[in-house]
Amino acid sequence: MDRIPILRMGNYLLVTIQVDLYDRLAQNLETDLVQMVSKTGARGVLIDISALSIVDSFMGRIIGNIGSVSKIMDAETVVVGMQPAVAITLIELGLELKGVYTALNVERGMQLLKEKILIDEDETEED
Amino acid sequence: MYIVLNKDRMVIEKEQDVVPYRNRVKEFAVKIGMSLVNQTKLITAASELVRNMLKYANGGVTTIEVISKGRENGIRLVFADKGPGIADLNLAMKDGFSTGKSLGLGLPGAKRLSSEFDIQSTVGKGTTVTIIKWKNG
Amino acid sequence: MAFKKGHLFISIFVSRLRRGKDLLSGIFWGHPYSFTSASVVSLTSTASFHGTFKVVILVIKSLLPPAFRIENRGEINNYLYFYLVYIYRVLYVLKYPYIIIMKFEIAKSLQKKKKQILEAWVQNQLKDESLREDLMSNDELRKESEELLDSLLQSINNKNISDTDSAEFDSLNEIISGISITRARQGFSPKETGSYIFSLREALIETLHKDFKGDPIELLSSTIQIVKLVDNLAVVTFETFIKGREEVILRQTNEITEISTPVIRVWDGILALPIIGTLDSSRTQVVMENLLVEIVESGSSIAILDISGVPAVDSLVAQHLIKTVSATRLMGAECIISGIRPEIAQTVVHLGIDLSNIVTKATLASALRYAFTLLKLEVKKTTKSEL
Repeated sequence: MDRIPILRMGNYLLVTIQVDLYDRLAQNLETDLVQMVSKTGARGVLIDISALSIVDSFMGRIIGNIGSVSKIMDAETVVVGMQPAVAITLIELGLELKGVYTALNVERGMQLLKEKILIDEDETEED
Repeated sequence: MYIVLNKDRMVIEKEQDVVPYRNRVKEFAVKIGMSLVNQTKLITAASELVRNMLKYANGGVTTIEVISKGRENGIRLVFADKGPGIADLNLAMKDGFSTGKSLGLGLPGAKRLSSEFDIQSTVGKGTTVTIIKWKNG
Repeated sequence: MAFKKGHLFISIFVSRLRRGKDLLSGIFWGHPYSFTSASVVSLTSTASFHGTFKVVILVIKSLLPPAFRIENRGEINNYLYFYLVYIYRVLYVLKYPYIIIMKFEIAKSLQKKKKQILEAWVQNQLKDESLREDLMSNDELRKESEELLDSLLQSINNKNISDTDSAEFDSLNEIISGISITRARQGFSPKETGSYIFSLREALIETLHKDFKGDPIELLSSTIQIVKLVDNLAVVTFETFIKGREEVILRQTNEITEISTPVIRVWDGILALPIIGTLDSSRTQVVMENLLVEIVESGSSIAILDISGVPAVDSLVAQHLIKTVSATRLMGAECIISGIRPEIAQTVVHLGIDLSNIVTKATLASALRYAFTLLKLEVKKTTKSEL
């Protein structure tokens, strides 16, 4: 079975989706990612979808699920590199990808993750 | 009313058929010079409808057609399945309604994404959805 | 000339009589049902000049559904009606032979009098107060009129005189279209272009007037034909005129859509997009696309949508704005809407549109200030900044 590679970089997990996903692959990705989060104790997940030419409600749901599950396991999810046409289509479709952060590119995404995690840590320290 | 310029037919039986089907639709859309945004909208709508077909009727037959009306060209997609049919079309067209465990955006979303949308369904016999996306629409 | 007229008369007289004979044979030897209602109308219309009630009734009856057609009446009555009609016809032909020549030869008689018509037409135009001597000299006018009249007279014959859709009129329609388009471009008003064509009608009718002094009814029917003909030409004129205008409008619309959505990089990482004019769904798509593509290209994280140039915000426009903001956020950038005038704010609230998820600012300046705080930038007085 094909799998999407998940890269680990310090506290973060990196996923780059390079091909159009069919359903099983996407569902596998969801399971794999969640397991990786728990195994590595990662604080952030970054999903690069810049190569995806379409995101339908199924893919949207997968991304949303990853975000929600990661959140429960104390990790933030950032989706980066969405194509303009994909963004317009998603809005028209009525899908707003709630529960995940978005960023323009990988660099901005990493920055955003660092900020979010920093804020979290600050709050914990204050507690 | 419409002139059919080009026609193709695909049988959808398993989820692996979705991606090749999307690529086929994309080829047609590129051929008539549809803009990237409209292409994406069309393919997304097609993807939603094909998934519906797989999920509720275990597949079906789709046709892709290049049609023209006056000066305007467009793509017409027909999705015909022999599934259980839809009892309440009005309800099925509502945002957030789903009999399966999905977001319930499939049908209403596909309608919003296409220029013209038509659905016919008979309980026990099947459902046929027809969508048209005009090149500049 | 006299011989020619006489010759024509005889040939037409004979042909009419021959038709009459057909009629007779139809009545006396053939079957009365063999008459089509059309032939009855054409025959009786000649006789109706004499205003016989019964004939008029006959015409009406022939137009009614089959159940009411004359064949349901007694056969003797049928014979009588047709016989009467035939007598009228013969009498009529004997009494007004020259009128028949004219009736059949409207086109030819007009063709012969081309010069007369042209003269009358040009005179009509010159008399008109709305003549634009500043736009067109009298010589040009005469030349243009002559060309049109030439084509008109060549195109018409008795069959097509009130049907300008027939193929014979193609070249004429082309000339008229050409003239009205040139006139539209030269700055003639529709009224002036229209009266140009309508003055031709007067000239044609005046000419016919002289030919039909003897018979007002025939004059009326020819006049109606001429009026129809010129009306059809006028319709072509207006159609072309409007088509020309529409093309201009279409081109301008496209230009406006293109030029009216400029995306400006106001600061490193800040884009501004002033929207001028009404936001409809097709324009929203263009705006959205331009904005999102520019966000990717410039790597900006903040976009300011300035709507001070949008005349009104209704729920549809608001929906388009919300969509644009949501799409921008999906891309990973923040979107601020600025330039909300008090009256627009009021309508938005009255319409019950929820803009609470969107950052809104009254002016572009305050939106920019907000963007600076988001980017943790500071503008100091001494530096003479772009603010």
